[in-house]
Amino acid sequence: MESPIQLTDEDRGRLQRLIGTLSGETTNAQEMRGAAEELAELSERLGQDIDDLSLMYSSVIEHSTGLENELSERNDQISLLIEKMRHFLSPQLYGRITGGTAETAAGNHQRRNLSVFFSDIVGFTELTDTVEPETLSQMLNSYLDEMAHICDRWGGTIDKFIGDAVMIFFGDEEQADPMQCAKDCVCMAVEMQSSLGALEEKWRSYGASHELRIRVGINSGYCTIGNFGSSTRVDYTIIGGNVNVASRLEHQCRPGGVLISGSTYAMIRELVDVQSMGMIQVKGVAHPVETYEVIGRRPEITAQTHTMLVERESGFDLKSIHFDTQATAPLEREAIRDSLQRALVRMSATESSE
Amino acid sequence: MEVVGGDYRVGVDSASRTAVFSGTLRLNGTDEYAPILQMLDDLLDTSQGSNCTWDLRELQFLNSSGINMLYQLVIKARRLGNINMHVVGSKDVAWQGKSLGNMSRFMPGLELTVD
Repeated sequence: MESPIQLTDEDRGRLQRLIGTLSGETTNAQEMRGAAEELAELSERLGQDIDDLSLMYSSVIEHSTGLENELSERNDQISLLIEKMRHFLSPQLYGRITGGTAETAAGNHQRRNLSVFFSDIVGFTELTDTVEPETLSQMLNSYLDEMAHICDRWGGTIDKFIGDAVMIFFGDEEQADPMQCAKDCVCMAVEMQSSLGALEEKWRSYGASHELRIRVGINSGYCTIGNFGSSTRVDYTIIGGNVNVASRLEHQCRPGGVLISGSTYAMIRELVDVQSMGMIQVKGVAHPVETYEVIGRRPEITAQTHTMLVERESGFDLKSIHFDTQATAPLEREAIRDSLQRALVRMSATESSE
Repeated sequence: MEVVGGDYRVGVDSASRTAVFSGTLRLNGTDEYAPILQMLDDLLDTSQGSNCTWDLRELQFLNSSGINMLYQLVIKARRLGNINMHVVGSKDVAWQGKSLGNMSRFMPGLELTVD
């Protein structure tokens, strides 16, 4: 279909002819009148075309503006939803979903060499019976918030929170180096243990006098990672014998400690001091698992995991320290000793320069 | 007679001289709209001296090229001068309220029903 609004070749021919007639020296009065009438009729039609074009222009702009505004509103809604979604997902999974690389179908799995972390709060179940639900909720949220921040700093993927228990893994990225993952995982665990004094102080401000101690288990090895679930609800998680081993190590760990498997220790032996804690048998795993408790850190990771001592340019903050000759685990003792020593060194350096 | 794409359908019922639109129409420019334009233009030609209906209630989205095409057809219908145009829309579809209302400005006799 030809556009109803256009200057056709016939129109152009008519216009040229009429101009010739009106400007001709030999044109008589009758021809003049006829040409003028024809020109008026053509002008009327062209005027109508211009009116239609003008109306079409403004109407199409109005339509486009309506669409743009609706699109903008929808974008705002989507942004709001994405922002809300961020709080329910690990940063890595969130990045993959918003970056468009995440698969959503159940059954999409891979085998990866991961370091798997489990922790839980000692005596938390008893706490639920003695503390008001609102206080308990404050305590739990402050604890999980701090653990999540530490996890993010070390690049771990929070698989899930199960009440007070935390499950984290390292090695989500395809190119991840298993040794670096094991190191980051253990450093994270050590930092988490060191951060509990300050958290306990916060708990006291909520009116709870419960001693905050956690157990940590870490194992490294091949796990199956991916989407597990039904066609309508999937979880991005990890499964396998090595996951069960990490969970079992956490149960075996003494309060305040970090219990790691032989496979994790083999990858970080230059970074930590350990004490052998014997072998454990895990259901579904053919061979007994060697276990080690982390009792000290080498300087390389000590410098990265100071949380009792927060240094500033003009000084430092020393967070609350609670020491018990019986209950304080070797790793905590080491962290306390190290933080105090560094604080003293810092003070001495200041005094000698004055 | 119909033109069907991945997420749209425009069908013409010659007996009732009605075109029914559904889905999302976001074709690129006049070239991609040409088959639909041709079908709707033929419908106008066969509707002379009678009525012609466009049912847009199920058309969830129409881009600028699409509305431009419809406006041109309404102008043509007005110029033919012997067609009773009836356009049916839905107030549940955001774009239809204003953009269909503007059709009456191109063709004052056009009957517009937006329920």
